Amino acid sequence: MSPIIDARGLTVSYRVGSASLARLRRRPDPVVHAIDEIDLVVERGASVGIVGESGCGKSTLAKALVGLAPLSAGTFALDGEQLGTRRTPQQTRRIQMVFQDPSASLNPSMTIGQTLRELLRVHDMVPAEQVHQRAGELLELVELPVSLLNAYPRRLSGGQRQRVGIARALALEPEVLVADESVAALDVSVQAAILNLLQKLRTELGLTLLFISHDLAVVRHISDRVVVMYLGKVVEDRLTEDLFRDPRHPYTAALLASAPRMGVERRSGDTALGSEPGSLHSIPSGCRFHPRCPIAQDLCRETEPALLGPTAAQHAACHFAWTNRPDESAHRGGGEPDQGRLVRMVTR
Amino acid sequence: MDEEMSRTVLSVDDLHVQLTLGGRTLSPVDGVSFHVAAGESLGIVGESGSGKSLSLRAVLGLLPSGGESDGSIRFAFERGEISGDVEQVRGHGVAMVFQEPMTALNPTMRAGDLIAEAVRVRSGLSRRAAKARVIELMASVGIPDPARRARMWPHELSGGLRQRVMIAAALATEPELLLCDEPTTALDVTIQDQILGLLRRLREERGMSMVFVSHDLAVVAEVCDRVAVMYAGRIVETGPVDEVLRSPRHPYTAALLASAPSFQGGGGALATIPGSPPDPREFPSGCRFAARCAFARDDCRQAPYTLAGDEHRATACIHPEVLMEASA
Amino acid sequence: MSVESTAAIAAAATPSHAIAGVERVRMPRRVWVGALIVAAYVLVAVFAPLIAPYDPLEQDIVNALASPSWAHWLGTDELGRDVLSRLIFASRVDLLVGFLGAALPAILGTVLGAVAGFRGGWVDGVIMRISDVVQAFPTYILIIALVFVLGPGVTSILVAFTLIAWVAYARLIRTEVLRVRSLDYVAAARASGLRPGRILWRHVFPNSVGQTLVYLPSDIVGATLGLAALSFLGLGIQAPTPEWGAMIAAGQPYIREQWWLSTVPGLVVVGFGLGLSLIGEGIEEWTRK
Repeated sequence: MSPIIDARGLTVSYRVGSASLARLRRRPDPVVHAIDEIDLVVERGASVGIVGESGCGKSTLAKALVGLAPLSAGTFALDGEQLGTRRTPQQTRRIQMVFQDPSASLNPSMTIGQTLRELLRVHDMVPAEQVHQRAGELLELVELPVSLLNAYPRRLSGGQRQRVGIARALALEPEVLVADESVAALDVSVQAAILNLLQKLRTELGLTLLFISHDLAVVRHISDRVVVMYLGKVVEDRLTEDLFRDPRHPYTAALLASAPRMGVERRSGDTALGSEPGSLHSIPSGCRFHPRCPIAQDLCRETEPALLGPTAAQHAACHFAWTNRPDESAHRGGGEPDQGRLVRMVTR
Repeated sequence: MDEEMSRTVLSVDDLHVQLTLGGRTLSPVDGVSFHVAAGESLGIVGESGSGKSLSLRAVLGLLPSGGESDGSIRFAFERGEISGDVEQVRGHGVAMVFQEPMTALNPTMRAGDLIAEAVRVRSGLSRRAAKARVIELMASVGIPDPARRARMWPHELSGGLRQRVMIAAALATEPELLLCDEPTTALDVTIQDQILGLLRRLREERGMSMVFVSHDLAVVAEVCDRVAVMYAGRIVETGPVDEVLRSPRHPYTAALLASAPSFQGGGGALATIPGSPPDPREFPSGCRFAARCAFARDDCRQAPYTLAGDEHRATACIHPEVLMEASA
Repeated sequence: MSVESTAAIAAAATPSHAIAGVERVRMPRRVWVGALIVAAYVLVAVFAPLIAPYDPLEQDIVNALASPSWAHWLGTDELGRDVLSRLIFASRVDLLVGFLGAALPAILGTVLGAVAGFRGGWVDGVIMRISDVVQAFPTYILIIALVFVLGPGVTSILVAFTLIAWVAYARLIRTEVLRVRSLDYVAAARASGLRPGRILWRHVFPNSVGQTLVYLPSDIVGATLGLAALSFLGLGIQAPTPEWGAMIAAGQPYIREQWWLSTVPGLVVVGFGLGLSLIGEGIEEWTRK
């Protein structure tokens, strides 16, 4: 069976200034790559988490997959069918998105019912006389009362709006659901309910889920596999359990170490990563992470590491991911998470 | 030191906040009391609408328009006790750090000038002397290359640097008490980690007291000694952070902890809290969490609100034993 | 935080279980008061021949400049015409120019502004450059020049208004469209494969016109006053057709003795403006909710 998502070399670039001005000053074309030659292959029914800091390109990747950001290079095949930015309605339906901010992602001048029925009609999802009933079913699917069909979004709580956002995506009966920070704006207890709903829908409807988030605990909960991005590149791509137990890229380790956790004593100055994140406008040479990396070597400053690994499900883009670290004290032992070591290394 | 710890820098007693929105009056903060000892860091945790931020803002009289507060707020600084007049403590003993460093910094002032303004409020230094102090402060909050950054506009700085500028401006007034309103919520984890580390260090170096408002229990656990959990305008539980997280004595705290996905993993559905928080226009009588509480009994709906316990540990739940039974 | 937290409180104040059926935010009462005033003016204009006690054009030189009496409630003008009847008939042309003089530019400007904002690129460039050119001239001088070329009369006044006043609407709506276009629900509409025309019409446009609705009532007053000014200059409605502005102008020589000749039409204009501004303010308050 072919993978449901087969993306190769996905690149989304933005022009950030005048090309003619740059030519006058004999500088290269002012272009930044929000995502830079990303490969992503996902099996049907999988749940993949995509994490990274702001500016790492995770949202751009989501937009590129659903056709909201034009590709500058690369190919994207959904279940063997090539999809571009311009898609037929049939192609559009197959991959749908749930947005981040539930208060901004619903048209305030349309009722919930109008929003859902519009999609059902435009896409001819059900015969005209069943449109009304189907809209109600969609609300039931996301565990909302059917009476909300006549309500305007401003009357709904954040959690309810996000459920409507999910119902809207599901109206087109997609095979892939892309959730872009879909619980980030919600309170913890509401977030839990939405995560449970997404899990339930995934199993019941056999959806493939791409879950984009900055929150590692949430990603750990909902994904079987995690893709870590840094400055437009994938730096690590592993099964969730493996990645959290034994991160192979120093950036992943730092991310894990910096997430606040209960019951972990911190000393006054402890921080996992000292410096500011890099900028897409001035991509470092070699490994993009090297200016912040606690174990960077000369090699890292010169050569960009490839995304490699011993098995198909284990990839990391670090020269030292699968070998002994150059720093002898960093030699890993046992299966214990070694974020502590990284923390120590940075602070002293 | 013991003597010093016993001094209560901030005492808030029976604080009420009334908010008039579109002709309706709400009481989003309804009888909140808390105390912060010298050198202590208190976390206030709650979900949106719990009244945690408004409680903090009421301390400095910074309520949104249409908001009014009532209750006793007393400060005890090294220079003496102050109560009633917040004007006297703004910039003189108390400073505040806000959530969104983009909107909380004046976009038409350079970073250095923003801090210099705070320096001069406090010290009346000359422009030149203030400038040196600004660079010193910026360096102390970990801003690399402070002289250059001082000349930059807020929009030219990253989110993390903006938050550091805001902290530097707060420190410029040499506060004894620092109020933080979700200062890391808008930041990436690695930057949040840096800012939390910075706050821990500053508190240690300067012996500052702190009140830290957040929706995130884990963040509070990292920077606070004690925590107060708020629900529907009231504090439902207080105690040392570790103890509250380990063995909560209010069902709401327990439910909140259970609904957060664990970093250690563990699949299955997350615990959720049924229903939604009560309408602040018509709070139910008795325990406000009763309608959503898995352990609620009949007497919960009549019980008057009191925070039972001592300075160390207190809960508003009249049946805290149910949690112990449930976990046993 | 204040905005967020008040929003959160407001959201908490409307809990889910309270929701049933269609709910819209109620219009403030002043909108209805304003609408009542404007409706009264419209009714007077429509039924002018039935209400007016005299023919507004009928002269009676002997009775010129008469004071108010039972026969002539508001007296007569310098040609002995009944002032009340003239005021009533004048509402026809004034309301027509007011409403159309605001609506036509609003429609033209809204369409051009929405297209410019939504399409962007060269379309936006062309529309905005034209609006720059129009805006570079002083408004009244341009209107006067246009009316002078086209010849006086209602049609040329409306054409002149439309060609000039659309600019404000186009800029207003373009800014709003640019704002709304970047919101997530528009991205959501695009992601769900809706056509651009539909997105503009159903998702961008309805959420962009709020400001225009606020602006529109004050523009109706503006158009009425503009007509009055043109009439005063002799470029507006030509004698003997009654018109409020022309009546104010015609009464001016007699302001010491027959003060009501100018004052009463002035008050009539003020009343009309008041009604419209109540509507405008009310709508503004409503859209902010």
